[in-house]
Amino acid sequence: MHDHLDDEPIRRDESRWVRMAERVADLGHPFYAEERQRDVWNEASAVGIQVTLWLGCAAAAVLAWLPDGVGAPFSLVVLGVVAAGVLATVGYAEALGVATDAPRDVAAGRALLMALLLLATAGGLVRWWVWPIEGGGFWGGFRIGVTAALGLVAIVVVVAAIVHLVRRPGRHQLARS
Amino acid sequence: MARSATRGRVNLVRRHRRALELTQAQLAEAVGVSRQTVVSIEAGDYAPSVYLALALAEVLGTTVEALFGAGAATGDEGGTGNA
Repeated sequence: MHDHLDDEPIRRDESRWVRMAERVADLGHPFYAEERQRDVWNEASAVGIQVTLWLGCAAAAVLAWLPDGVGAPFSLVVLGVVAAGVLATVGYAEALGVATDAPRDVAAGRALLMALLLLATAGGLVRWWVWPIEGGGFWGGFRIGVTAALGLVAIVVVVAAIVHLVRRPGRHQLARS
Repeated sequence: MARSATRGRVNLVRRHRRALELTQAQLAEAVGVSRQTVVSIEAGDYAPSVYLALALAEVLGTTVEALFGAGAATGDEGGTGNA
């Protein structure tokens, strides 16, 4: 009779994963009982994960292009650590019914920058592991030149990403303008 | 509630607290939050949850509408049961 009034069930996952995540984050600590502290800490955590994400990816891109590929394994480790943090964050939010697919208007610029950073990292890793410089001659010089150019592009991308993040106005400033 | 989304909203918590001659610390203790939270609420920098708003209204002897309702922005008491 009142089918249209049927409420959508709350999607709340009380799985072992959620309980484990709550334990890891110590969410039962009395600190979280005070609501403003909790809210501000939520925002602070968002700041922290964004800083970790962007600095981690920038570091991975730089490490991937260090001479002789010495930074390649470290680049992968950094990427893995960052990815684990991001996956844990997204996984926890999704498990508690919060969709984490970013709004389109927010995601475009960030997604492009992140794609460029990851591309630079991937380029560096592929460069050292799949296409090592061997021998001299024309092709050796050509490869060194191409590699140097790609490395320069990677550095420019990293610097541009940092400058963009530092310069861009906060969301509240955008809302006021 | 995102801090940036609530900044600058006017409320009458400070007026009611002063009318009762309560300090911010006393009000904070009465409703179970930190003094800084009361400071932020009075400054319009933080929008409390409905539960905290109800607790504030109870301690201040008024209603949530009187503290945070549309009339609060213009200084009108609004609501019912005002102190």
